[in-house]
Amino acid sequence: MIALLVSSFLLPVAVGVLIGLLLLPPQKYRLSPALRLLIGGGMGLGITSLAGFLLLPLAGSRYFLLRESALLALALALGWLAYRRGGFTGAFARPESAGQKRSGVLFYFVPVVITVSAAVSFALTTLAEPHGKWDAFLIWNMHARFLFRSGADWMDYFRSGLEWTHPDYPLLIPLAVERAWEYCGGETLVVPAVISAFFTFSVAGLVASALGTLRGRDQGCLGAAFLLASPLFILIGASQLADVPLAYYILGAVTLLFLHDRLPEPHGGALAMAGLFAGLAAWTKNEGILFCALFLSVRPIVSLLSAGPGRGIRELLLLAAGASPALIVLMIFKIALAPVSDLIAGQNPAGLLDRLGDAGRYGTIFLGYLRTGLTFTQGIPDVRAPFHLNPAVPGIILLAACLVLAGRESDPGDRDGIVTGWALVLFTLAGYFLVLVVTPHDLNWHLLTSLNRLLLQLWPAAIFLVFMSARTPGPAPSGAPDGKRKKAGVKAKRTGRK
Amino acid sequence: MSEMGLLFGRYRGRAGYLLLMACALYASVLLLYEKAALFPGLSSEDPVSIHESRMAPLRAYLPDRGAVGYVTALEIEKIFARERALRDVELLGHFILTQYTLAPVFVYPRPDRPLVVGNFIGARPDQALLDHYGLVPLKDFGDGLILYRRKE
Repeated sequence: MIALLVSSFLLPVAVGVLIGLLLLPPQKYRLSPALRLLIGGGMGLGITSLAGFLLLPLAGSRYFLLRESALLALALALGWLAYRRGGFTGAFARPESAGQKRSGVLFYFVPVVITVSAAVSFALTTLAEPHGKWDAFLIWNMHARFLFRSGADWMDYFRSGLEWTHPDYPLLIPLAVERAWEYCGGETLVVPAVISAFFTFSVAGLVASALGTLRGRDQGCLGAAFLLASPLFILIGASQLADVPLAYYILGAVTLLFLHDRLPEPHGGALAMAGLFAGLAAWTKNEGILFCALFLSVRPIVSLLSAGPGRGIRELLLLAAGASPALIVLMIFKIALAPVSDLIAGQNPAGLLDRLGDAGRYGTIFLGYLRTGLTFTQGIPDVRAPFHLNPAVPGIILLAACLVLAGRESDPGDRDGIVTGWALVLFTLAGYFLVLVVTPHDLNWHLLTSLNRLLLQLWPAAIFLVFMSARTPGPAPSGAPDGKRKKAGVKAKRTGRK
Repeated sequence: MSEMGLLFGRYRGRAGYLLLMACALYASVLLLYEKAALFPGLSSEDPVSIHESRMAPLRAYLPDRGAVGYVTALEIEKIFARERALRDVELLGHFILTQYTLAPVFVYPRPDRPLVVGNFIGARPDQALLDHYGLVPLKDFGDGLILYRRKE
């Protein structure tokens, strides 16, 4: 069974990595094989899910055979194209070692211990709750069961009126689980658990390898260790929810902007791929639709302001082209199948205006943001007795303290990426804020049951952005008490007193 | 600037990262300790699996597709209201797990279908409610699980 499960990942990973070789050609993008694998793996799983959805009308007959044949043909075509374009040449070469200085064994040893500890915690959580937590069996695994067990009648579920199971939620995760069950020859609890582990450790790996490529290995190890030591990340990851997969696609989209911006000459591949990641975020969870809309707007505006309308329009077209496959599938799903979301169905104009004009709701949400923002990483709270702040657990306070102590240092080429990244985080939080203001559900219930996960979706990207701006761990050069480094191409900005 | 200030300026970056690593290590090991301490052991079954095993015999009496109703000790509106009030999720959990187990059969939260699943863990069926909906026991599986037929 394990062999069958592993084999179910082969085609998605191959498709993802090959698309990566075409859009991020090794001649232009000097990326490590690990980074290519981490970007390609999750992307391939998302693309497989899109193909699965388009072929679902064939469910119950030759669905599996046709979908896998189509994916195999796609992989072969991509492989041939990549070969023709010299994509395999240098794909597995070590990237340039700029900024690869290692600060000491401690900076390597501690992240390894944290990774092992996180992996064991993940395994223990999964073994204790193999069906996942509430939303896993209420939504994601339930949807996978309906798709897998219904055969040719799979559409009935979306017309069933079982709105409390949220049939309007996008299908990336349920289709990924359903596909792996078909490989395994039946339902097994291992599949959703392995897919959750795949995404959880892909997020950490992506933080490590992307920061390692862009900022040096020390930053990569530290960023990944900080993320893996955030208890909520491991617990939600192991709970088989879609928040960590969404975090993966958000992080991937942001990371690809930096890879693009570091190129000496413009190359649209990374932007198209960033658009694809944003589209897959929308195909993962409804919150991803907001992120995707913001991503396709914010980045072109930032480019327009920094480099003129020509670049802004060019980037908008590239991002939209990348996002379009996922957005087309999402549109088909939302128009043809999905019932109206509970957040919209429960609205009426009078109630909406009442809620918008209720200042108390804004205060409640603001306090919720503040309280949850300071504590959300600490774990899954008991909603009746939320956390007391423990600043020693990796969270916003510790991240800010580390940034203040380390000081800021950023590559001038990263400016647009940093501005875009933080604008996305802030606008997404503002969007969630507005949704909470107008929610037809009880506000307190909505805040307590969702806000920590909403913040977690952005947490890996926020860690990545902080480490993209933080000074590397090495001591300031002797004789430079102000800490300004005179390194070519690197602009050092120290914060705090001199 | 004082000597201490200079020293701080020189090593504060490293101090920041050491603080970060120490805290990350602490949080990671603490989570591992908590998970290991609470781990029920490989042989024990989780509540969802126990519920699935309890529901398993019901399947043979249900159609492969279609819909069934649901009845329990409390009306479904009250069950949802309790969950929204963050008071009690147990009865709602039983209902959700019944749907999770019986998919692709649709489980509707009211006893107004020809076949109705009665789920009474730790509670007795309310005879007045059963009479009101015209529910007649078709098969009692024990442990509070009863399949009802609805009189036309």
